[in-house]
Amino acid sequence: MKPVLAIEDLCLGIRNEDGLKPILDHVCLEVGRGQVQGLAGESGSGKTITGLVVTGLEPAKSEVSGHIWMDGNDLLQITGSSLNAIRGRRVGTVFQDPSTSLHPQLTVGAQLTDHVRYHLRVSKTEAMDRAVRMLDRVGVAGGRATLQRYPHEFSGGQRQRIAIAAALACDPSVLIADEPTTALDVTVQAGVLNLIRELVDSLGLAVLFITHDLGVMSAVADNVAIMRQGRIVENGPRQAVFASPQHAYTRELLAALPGARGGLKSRADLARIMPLAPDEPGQTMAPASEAGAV
Amino acid sequence: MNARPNPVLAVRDLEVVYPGHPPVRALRGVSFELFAGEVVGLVGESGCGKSTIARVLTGLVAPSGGVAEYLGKPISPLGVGRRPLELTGIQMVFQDPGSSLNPRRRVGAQIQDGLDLAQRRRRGHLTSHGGAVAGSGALPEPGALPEPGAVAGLGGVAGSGAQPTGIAQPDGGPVRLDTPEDWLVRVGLEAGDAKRFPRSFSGGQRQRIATARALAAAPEVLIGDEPISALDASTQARVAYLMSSLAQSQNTALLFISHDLSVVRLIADRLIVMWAGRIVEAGPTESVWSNPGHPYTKSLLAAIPLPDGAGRLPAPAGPTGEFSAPPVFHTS
Repeated sequence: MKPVLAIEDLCLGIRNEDGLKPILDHVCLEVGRGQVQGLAGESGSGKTITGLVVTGLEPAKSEVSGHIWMDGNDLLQITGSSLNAIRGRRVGTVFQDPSTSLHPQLTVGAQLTDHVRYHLRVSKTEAMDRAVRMLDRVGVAGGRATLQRYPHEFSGGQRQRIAIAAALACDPSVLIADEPTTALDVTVQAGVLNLIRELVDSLGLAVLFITHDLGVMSAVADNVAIMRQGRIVENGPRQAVFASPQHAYTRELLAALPGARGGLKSRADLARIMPLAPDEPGQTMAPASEAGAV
Repeated sequence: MNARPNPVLAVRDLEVVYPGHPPVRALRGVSFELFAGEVVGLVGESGCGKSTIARVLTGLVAPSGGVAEYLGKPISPLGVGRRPLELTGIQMVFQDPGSSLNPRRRVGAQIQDGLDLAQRRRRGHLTSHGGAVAGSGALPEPGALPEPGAVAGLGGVAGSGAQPTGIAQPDGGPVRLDTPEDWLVRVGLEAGDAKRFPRSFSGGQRQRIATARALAAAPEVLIGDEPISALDASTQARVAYLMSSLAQSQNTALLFISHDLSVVRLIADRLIVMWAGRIVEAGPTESVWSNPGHPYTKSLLAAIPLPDGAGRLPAPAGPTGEFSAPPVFHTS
């Protein structure tokens, strides 16, 4: 199947006084229709910036090379209105923190209709109708009255649902979700993850799901890519990556997590993996009987 | 030693109301005790009141009802002056590694503050760590602490009383923690790091330093208010383990506040689960984890996505109405 979004040999460096600082190193990723491609890695690995390049939000002074293919166009080559038409309309983005990604002084209605009217050239009434349907779709109750309310009147989970509705309002084929549940409580996160998976399955969205949380990744992703220092070190079907990770770094990541296969199960496991200090308990420790411990 | 020692910290029927329209009842009658050398995980989601407890215990918020006692005396709310010396036996590690250390001072100096505090409390006989050897007629060797290897098992030292002059290391000498450099090495950094400023360390390293600073003060109680939630997943378990094993090794009670049950369960002896300002479930960790009794605890556990590759979506929470069921207390 032809991927909806294909990132090919993406390299990115940021120019500073010492020269070009490499951030991304030949990143290749493909997301197909109705699929969630997970992108995991620790802070600073380059996962967020990969998502930002797709939407053209990479930092100033970036030097980018490679290709980002969508609908036969290279987003890094086209400009102006043709670029707007693709990445504004066909790519939706959900960020980590809905309290900053939604505008605090604009009503929910304004934020759900503005881009719709621009991109789809529909009337205000029609845009409002669409917005109400979207809110209903993402599980925010209240219908038309909700459109008059402001983001602060909603809980964190509701706000993230509204942000998802805004991202999907123009019927995009690609959704970039950058840590969309990291700021949420675990029970609220469960609801949002279920929603995202349900939208993927019913709308055939292609999702690039960026997170540091391998538990979340395991729940929603079909394919999992592991990123480290700007490079993708492993990419494959979810089950394969979790069950038999090929790269040493992936194994290391999983070994440091509670609940992973071969991961942490007890305090004794922690003592085993923790290089604390020269006299780290469990490493240079004498047998319990000698040390006189109970 | 008593079979059942007095708690170092006791909270009874604690109520906190934040003013506003309408006022927010952050705590609605919370009671628990904390004993020397134990690790207690306090878990719950945003708004459940867990950080308010930390704020009461450090004197940042005055309770509206009930009492919080440290070594048998009520904790006085913070005034304009310095905290009373005896209350410095309660130390805290904060959530944000970016603000848990003073950015303008070298980390060595900040750990030295902790060591100085411990020294002052020992002189004033305000620490039970010192008290244990008071009978021998000498002040304890500062920083000579029990070797943590001896407590690497599950809370081996809890309740067995502090032995400040230490259990010998395999090579014979006690672990000496007299200087900031000793502490840095103890938390897995290098002695030379003492001269560096906080900004040159990563988040995980800063939380290690904040732990060293707090524990250098030889506190009876260490409170970690979401100390790992801003860290990378692979660092979280390590920092949690570091905090808990070092606290246990000097017989400090650790109250570990977190929303992340999967990590807390690895380090805590006991769990306290909060919801809407109340304790809904409490008991030994394994018992609560494997046999949750309260509807809220059940839904909290079911919502944790496990990194097992199974592609299982976590269960969304049920109706919150059922969470107001009576609390469940497991007996040990």
